[in-house]
Amino acid sequence: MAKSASIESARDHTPPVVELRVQAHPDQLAVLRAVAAAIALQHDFDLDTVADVKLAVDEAATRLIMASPDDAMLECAFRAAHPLLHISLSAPAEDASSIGSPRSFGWYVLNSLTESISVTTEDSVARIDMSIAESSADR
Amino acid sequence: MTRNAGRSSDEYADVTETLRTLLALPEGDPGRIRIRDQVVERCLPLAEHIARRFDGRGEAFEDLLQVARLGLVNAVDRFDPERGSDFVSFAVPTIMGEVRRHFRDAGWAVRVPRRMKELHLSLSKATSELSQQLGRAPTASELAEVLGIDQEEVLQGLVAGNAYQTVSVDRSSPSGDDGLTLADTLGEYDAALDEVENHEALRPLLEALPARERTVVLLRFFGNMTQTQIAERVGVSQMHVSRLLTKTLAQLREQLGENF
Repeated sequence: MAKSASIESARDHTPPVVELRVQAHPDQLAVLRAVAAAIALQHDFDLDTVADVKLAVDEAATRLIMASPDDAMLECAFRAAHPLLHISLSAPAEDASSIGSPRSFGWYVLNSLTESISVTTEDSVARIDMSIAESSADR
Repeated sequence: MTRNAGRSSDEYADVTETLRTLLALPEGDPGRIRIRDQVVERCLPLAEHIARRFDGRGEAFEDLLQVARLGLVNAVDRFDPERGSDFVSFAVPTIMGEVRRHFRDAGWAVRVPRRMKELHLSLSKATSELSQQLGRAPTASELAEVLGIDQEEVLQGLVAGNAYQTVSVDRSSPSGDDGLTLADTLGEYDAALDEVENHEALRPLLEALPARERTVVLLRFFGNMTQTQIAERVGVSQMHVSRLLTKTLAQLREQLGENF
């Protein structure tokens, strides 16, 4: 299984994706942060970028968790393509309108941490897609 | 710098007298600020001495030094010669209290093996040195090379850093300014703040933050500086900046609630 998967991904030149499913609960934020940091470090992003990745994941996941019903699951997918790290997070949302209110402080923070970010809602599942660039603060 | 502060309180005997002069001046007299600055500068070796006593216990020295200096400023501001003690016997416990509080707040949230704590500390030191050389934050592979260890081990040490306590639940944020002139007032960021929808709610919360926390948030999110650049400006380690940001954002998020 693993072998054929790695051959396939090598063939289509898509960087490997790491996926994670956790309960949509604030207790899980530490796990998400640790995994996000480990992936960014593994791909040799500098420590400023690693710190930004942690803050962004924390903030994006918190927004989704706050909007999700009890017992929901949060899904998180990471794909590193140096100098960019793409992260998608999704969770069922009771009220998706609060997640991406574009002029809130939290959204402002997310924007300053990321190269690009968007929120989409489909079938009551809200999804945040974001890319973080190495040294994005310098641009 | 190797003087023994404990035995040499005579060395600072003049400070008590100088502070008496300060307090004799009317409130708001510009002389007060001048004398206060003089005294702080005069006593900086005292803060450094205390910071050194706590060195090697798992916290970066530059962070300890900054915290000790903060304690010194507090001691100068709170000293009351009428209570009969000399300045040094008041300042030493005040500064040590500040350093101890730092250890309490910046503790490890879970049990982490000693070897891992030491690794985390040496990574913190190497990060500061490399940042100076490179002018940016280093990567895991650069740290591995400098420390002569495996990249895998660097990953372990840095990820273990996540177990570091960033939010202490029982501590309400001190609203008082810590007296450090960081020169970052909200006014400089008015235009950027206006972009935020609920800036009327945000502004007083930012103002209530201790100066260091406020500076870190403003520089990162409104001043577009990297954590490494902020660390250099504020005089603490990048890891400390990272912790301050995480802690302060969590606090603002809680205070703003729906409006965050």
